[in-house]
Amino acid sequence: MSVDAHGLDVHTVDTGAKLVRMVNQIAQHLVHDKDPVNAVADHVHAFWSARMKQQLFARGSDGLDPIALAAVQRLASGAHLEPRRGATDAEDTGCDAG
Amino acid sequence: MGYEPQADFGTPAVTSDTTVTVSIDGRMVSVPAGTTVMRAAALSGGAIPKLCATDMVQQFGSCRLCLVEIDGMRGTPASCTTLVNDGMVVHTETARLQKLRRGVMELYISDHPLDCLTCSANNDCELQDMAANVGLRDVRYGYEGENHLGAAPDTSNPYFDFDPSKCIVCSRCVRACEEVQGTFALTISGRGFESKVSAGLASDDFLSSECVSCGACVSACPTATLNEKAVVAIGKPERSVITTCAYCGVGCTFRAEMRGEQVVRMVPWKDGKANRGHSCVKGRFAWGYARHQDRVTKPMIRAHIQDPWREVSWEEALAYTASEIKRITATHGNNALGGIVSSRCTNEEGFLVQKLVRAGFGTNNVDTCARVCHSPTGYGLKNTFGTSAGTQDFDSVEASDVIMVIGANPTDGHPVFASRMKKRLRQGAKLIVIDPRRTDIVRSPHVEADYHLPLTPGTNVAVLTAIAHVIVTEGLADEAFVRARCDIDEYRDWADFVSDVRHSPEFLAPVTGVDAETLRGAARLFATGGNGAIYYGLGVTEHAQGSSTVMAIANLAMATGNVGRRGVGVNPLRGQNNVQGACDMGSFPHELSGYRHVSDPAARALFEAEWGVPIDPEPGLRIPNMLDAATDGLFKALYIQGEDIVQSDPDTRHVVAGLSAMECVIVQDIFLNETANYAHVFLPGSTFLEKSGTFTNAERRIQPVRKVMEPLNGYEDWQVTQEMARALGLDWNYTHASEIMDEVARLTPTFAGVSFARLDAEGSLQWPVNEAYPDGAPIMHVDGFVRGKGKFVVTEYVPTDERTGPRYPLLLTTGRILSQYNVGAQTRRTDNVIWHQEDVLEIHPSDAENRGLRDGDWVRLASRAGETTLRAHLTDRVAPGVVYTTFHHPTTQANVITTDNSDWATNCPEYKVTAVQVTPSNGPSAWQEHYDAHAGLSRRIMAEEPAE
Repeated sequence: MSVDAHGLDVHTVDTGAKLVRMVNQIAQHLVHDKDPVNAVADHVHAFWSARMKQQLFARGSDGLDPIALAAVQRLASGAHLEPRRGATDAEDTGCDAG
Repeated sequence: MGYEPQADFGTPAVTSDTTVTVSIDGRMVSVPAGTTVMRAAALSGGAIPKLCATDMVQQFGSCRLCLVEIDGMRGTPASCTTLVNDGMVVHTETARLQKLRRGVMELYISDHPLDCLTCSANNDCELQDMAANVGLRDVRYGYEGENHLGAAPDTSNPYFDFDPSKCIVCSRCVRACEEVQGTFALTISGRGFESKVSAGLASDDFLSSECVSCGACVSACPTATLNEKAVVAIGKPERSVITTCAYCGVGCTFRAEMRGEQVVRMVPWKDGKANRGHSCVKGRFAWGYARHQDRVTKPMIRAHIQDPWREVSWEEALAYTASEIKRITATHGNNALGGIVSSRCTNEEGFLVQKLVRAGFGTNNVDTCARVCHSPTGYGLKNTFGTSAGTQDFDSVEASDVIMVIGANPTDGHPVFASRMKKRLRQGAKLIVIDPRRTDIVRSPHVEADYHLPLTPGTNVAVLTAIAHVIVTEGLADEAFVRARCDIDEYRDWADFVSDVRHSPEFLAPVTGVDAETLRGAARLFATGGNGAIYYGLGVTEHAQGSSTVMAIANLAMATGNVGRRGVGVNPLRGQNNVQGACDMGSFPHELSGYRHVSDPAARALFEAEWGVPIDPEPGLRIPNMLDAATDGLFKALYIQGEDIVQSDPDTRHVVAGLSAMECVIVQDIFLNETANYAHVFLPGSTFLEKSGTFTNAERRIQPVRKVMEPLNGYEDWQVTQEMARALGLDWNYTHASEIMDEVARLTPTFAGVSFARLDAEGSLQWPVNEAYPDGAPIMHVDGFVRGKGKFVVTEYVPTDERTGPRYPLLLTTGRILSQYNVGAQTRRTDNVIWHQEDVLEIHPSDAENRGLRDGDWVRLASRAGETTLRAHLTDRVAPGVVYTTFHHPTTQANVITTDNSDWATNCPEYKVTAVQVTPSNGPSAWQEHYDAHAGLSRRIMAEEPAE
């Protein structure tokens, strides 16, 4: 095990496992959406970097809850997701900090 | 601008639909009905002599100096307590009045030191002015009689002195403490000649009393009785500049009163629309850090974080930084770099940092510390209302009938707004507090919550759903509002959901820890009590269900029809001064300024045309994701402006591991903060007193920050970012911060009408400011929601993964206190440390007894993430099973304990719930020892080589 700048054991982080936990968390919270699979896919598409998505895809299906798995498969298949449109005109004050 | 005291019209302004016109010494003036003669006179340009009156507080009528004569009225009424009538004819300067006033002044001066020339208030003293005004030339009574001239001064407060020998017992300080601050720390003790101003009990001095050092009494005092120590030491100011406080999200505006380059005092600006002339101990007094000896003013670089720093020229520092950025980009690619800008920085600084990252580094890896506080507000209110910002201005609270405070401690975190809230509560508004702790707002002088729901940390959604259950099932929802303003189908789905018996208060009580009948009472009150306003803080957002809780709050406001008018609304109390602005400016990795998503080609095209570079359509990394990528070896360089992530972000060991894995960490700050212990480049920053720009407060109010003294490092922060961009080859040529705001306005629809010129003219503007809202929008969603129909979102309660068990049986929640701010970098370098010298662990006496702990004992606080040691404070403010601490001191490192759990939607850390164990301790943890050792090594600065 490696040590950090303080000579203490580095508490290594399994980023892939963390991403699985995160997407499962998202699925758990969007379960009441009319189309939860699409909602999860859209959320990940909108807020995760390309590399995070690739890391998630590389993990396969291990540990994913069914909705999260379907969403990940949808994203991995390259399904077209609409770009998020925001306040591009003066009337729209939409904002978002996701 | 030369020095002039702020105008004082004697009594507060009143509003009325009726205007009356009066004659005052032959001048005709029209004022709202209900105005006093004193105020009308001042408005007409002829101020009446006064001592006990000030427009900060209600009229009192004690000094008898403001007497006037009124045609048709007998005697000489006091102008401060006499209201104008239409057609009234007032005389303020008659021989009779002059004689009376001179007699009054004689009495005052007979018991007042005649040391004007050496008095700290010389030429800035109302008593002196009044003596001159009435033509006092002699005191017939002499000075030999009984007097108060020998009364000893109280110098206990670090910021101001109380000299009773100069007190005229006008009660302005007492009334300011009561009416403006709402603390009731001061009183007049004794009667007649024995009357004197007293702080707390007879045995108290100012420091030991309940006084919170807001400074209202000092501002109110007409003499040198209550005077700033800085005025005593430095002298009377010679100029003043209006600027905006850099502490919390209230955004108080101040007059920085200066002598040369030296701040003499910060005085709350009476025309400030956020603070209305009030202040707290931080903004009013805790600005001395700006010239603290710890300020680093020269750039420094080093190859390794164990090396000592080497001071270099700006040119060398910037050239080294640019070469490292280019090297890392060439070796690891654009996405191995990123930037973080603090929400303490100005809008203009935030905008430039994200522009540098996007246009210079070529990546969307930029984030702001709003990530770790209010990002769930953005997500939750965007989804439900269509805009992330608070719906109201602060003035709105004056029309609230029921105030619900959730997960916020406003008397400590947002004290100036808390004073306004308490004023409304004293007028009769009802109060519901949802908080695990018995915070001060639950019970303070003349304020007591009608309902306090002391929930188990982590159960916000369950409590709010239970409240909704009561409102819907008891038929208390405002269905007319819902039908008119919201998506009715979504409402019905939501109403069905909350009506389920599993969401009843009785069913959820074992989970939430809240008594069902108490919760039902609170729900009924909120739904039926008139204008209901919800104010919330980080106790809502910093949870695994932070975004869900924000949406549950929005649901509640819509279901009860409490959106879109004065007195109601959903109001996030922003932690730092520019959280709102940092979010507005495109500091998030998925959004450009004005909340345009990077995947939106139309939005990108605007910026690409202006900046001349392509923008990545994929979102970048958020702060926690950057650190994860760093420990994975994929993220190598980070530019951090104004943020101390080692101290402020959760799971310190992971933060340190991430930073340690990077090849170039660039810290721009005013001090060598904890994060700088892991940096390779240190670029000295400037304080808010040393630069121009704007902050946007919790009301969406954009306010000017004005340079009152030259930056000690030679550059404003935006200039440093610009120089870094130029070193990277970008052709940036801003000559003033106003030009950055001009660019923001060109690119951001909600800021289209904002400019420094308009802010100078109007003082502040509340966005949106554009064609649709040319003068801004104090209250949002008035005629309809920004998104169209208000959206009800079903918010299922999902227990956090962070659960207690045999190993970690207690729940830790964290927060802040009045005298310290965030990581304490500023306030720890002021005399505020007198009130809070260390973080302590609040623990319930029963939990302490079970562990053999006494008050003041050192304890070991451990979670699955790490452990630290601090002192225990036994108190029943926390419930059994819950412990609490602050994170203001790096020696404690409370965030060694907090975990990587985060909000499902935004990755906002779950600071508020950590399962912990508390045990006796007799020394620092291994982490603390190792951290101290590294900090000692890392903070070394290489001695300059002696000249030949």
